[in-house]
Amino acid sequence: MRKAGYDAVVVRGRAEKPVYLYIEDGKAELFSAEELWGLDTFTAQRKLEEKYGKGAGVLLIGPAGERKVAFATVISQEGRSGGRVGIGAVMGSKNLKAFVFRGSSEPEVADKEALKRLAADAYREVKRKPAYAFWMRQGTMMTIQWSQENSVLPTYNFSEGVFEESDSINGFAMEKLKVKQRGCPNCNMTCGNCILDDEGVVSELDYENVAMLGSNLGIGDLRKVARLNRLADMWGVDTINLGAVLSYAAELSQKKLIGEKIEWGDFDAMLRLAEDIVERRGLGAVLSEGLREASAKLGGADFAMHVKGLSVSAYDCHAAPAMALSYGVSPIGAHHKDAWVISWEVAHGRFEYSKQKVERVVELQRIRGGLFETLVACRLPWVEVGLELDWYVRLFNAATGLSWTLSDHMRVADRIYSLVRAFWVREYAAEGRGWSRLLDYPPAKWFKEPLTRGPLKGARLDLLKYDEMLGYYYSIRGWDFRGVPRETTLDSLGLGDVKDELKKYIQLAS
Amino acid sequence: MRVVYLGYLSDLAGVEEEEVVLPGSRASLVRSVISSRVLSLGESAILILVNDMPASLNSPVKPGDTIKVLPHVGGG
Repeated sequence: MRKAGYDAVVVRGRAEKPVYLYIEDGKAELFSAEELWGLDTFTAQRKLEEKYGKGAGVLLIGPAGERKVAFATVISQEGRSGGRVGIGAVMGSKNLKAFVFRGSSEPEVADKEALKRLAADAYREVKRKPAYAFWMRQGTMMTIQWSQENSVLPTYNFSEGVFEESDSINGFAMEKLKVKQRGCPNCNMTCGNCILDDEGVVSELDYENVAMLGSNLGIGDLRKVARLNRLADMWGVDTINLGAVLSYAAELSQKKLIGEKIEWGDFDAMLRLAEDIVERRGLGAVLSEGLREASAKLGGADFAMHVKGLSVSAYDCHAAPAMALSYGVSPIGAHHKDAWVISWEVAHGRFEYSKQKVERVVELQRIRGGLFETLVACRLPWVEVGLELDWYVRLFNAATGLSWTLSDHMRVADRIYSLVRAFWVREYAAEGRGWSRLLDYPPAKWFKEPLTRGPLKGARLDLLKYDEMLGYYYSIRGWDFRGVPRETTLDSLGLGDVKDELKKYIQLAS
Repeated sequence: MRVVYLGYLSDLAGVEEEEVVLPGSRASLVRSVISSRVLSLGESAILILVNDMPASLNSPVKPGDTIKVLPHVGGG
């Protein structure tokens, strides 16, 4: 996209018939996508590459996006997926099948030589780190074993934190089946580990996919998990949400709240239901709306594992209050990306509810949700192999010519967090739903149903102590008891226009 | 006593797991029995489990215990 001359693309309105948007060196044009409509993402990508060459950048949707499944994604490179919150459905609603980019320009940078030198140094530094070799063997798949050891591996719809068949789906099991490794262009710590699934087709695995479509469904066959993962990418549907709605359906079935029989570990039943979700048939049609909407119709709200409609990603929180808080206050719903605090929390008391934990959540939000997101930089070099944060700041300065410090980036992060929160509050108010701090609570299951197995058997979250942590989080952020930014906070962050807009919908505390 | 190194820490320690005999079969602290190369990473870089329960470098251990030493990871 940058080589084609654009930083971002805004698409307004809806095409009457399926189209794709072609952008080359500053020129944009819509073409008919009627021959691509209905095709899976892998096939459609290959057809576009046949026409425009392998060097073209392609972002596209599959059948799930076309049918506006609530958690449809945008896919590139046959398995690289974005948009947990349903960006694929937005494209589908516009009849927009794909973006295709070709370009010959290079993005301007302030000091090209300095940037090249720094980038080369950072590359070398990454490769020198002691964690590098193991990372190249297993990537994020090493986290399966890690989560099992720490009793946070989501199992049976987040009922347990340990899975009896974890050895058959972990990074070592993957290594025995690995056929190739791939990643983003120019990356030297490629995270995509590929195996052949049970149909003999390449599937790129990582932790979240395997935990949500494996242990959380009770499936201990990695090649079968790989097939579900690969099909999800072909359909253009988020693997985390897919795992979450399938496990919710299995628990509904277990509790006899639905007539369908879906047992833990029953791969064939899970596959059929996944197909029904993408085709929007029967029970699948209800589940395709996402957990919040499905549980409003089918019941089981306590075990519909979501926050603000977005399903919880792959860390069980029965004994992890800071990680639960991180899910509760994540800006897009229950996602791990911003404040992945679980690793730190394991070292600082699993059953502690402390101010220190809240402060760590905010610190990580500033780094992961602020710094990395605004730089559009991968977080994995920092936390997985230990590349120091300072590298990111120096690379940013070389590219822009600015002389920012880390604290400058942290202020940007705080602006983002209050801005996103203001957006949520406005949208809820505009729909007449009102805003409440209860929206920042994690799923009820973690408070009500303790772990029944593993070394932390009996553990569950304490609701009152969680609420105390939430209140302290609001005070750090400068938000009131409802979780709404105060007037003074918005002013101090230079968001006066946001304050004026928000006051049309809700009374603000000073 | 069994000491298990997970993830890249097994590369650093040179073993995936080892038996450690405590002198005189006496109790000790975790930091006294794990690999010095792993220890050199610093306390903030590693996680400790003793008999599968959360622990620290200063946790007491005795013959028959299992210590697991884990790295921090960042998730998918």
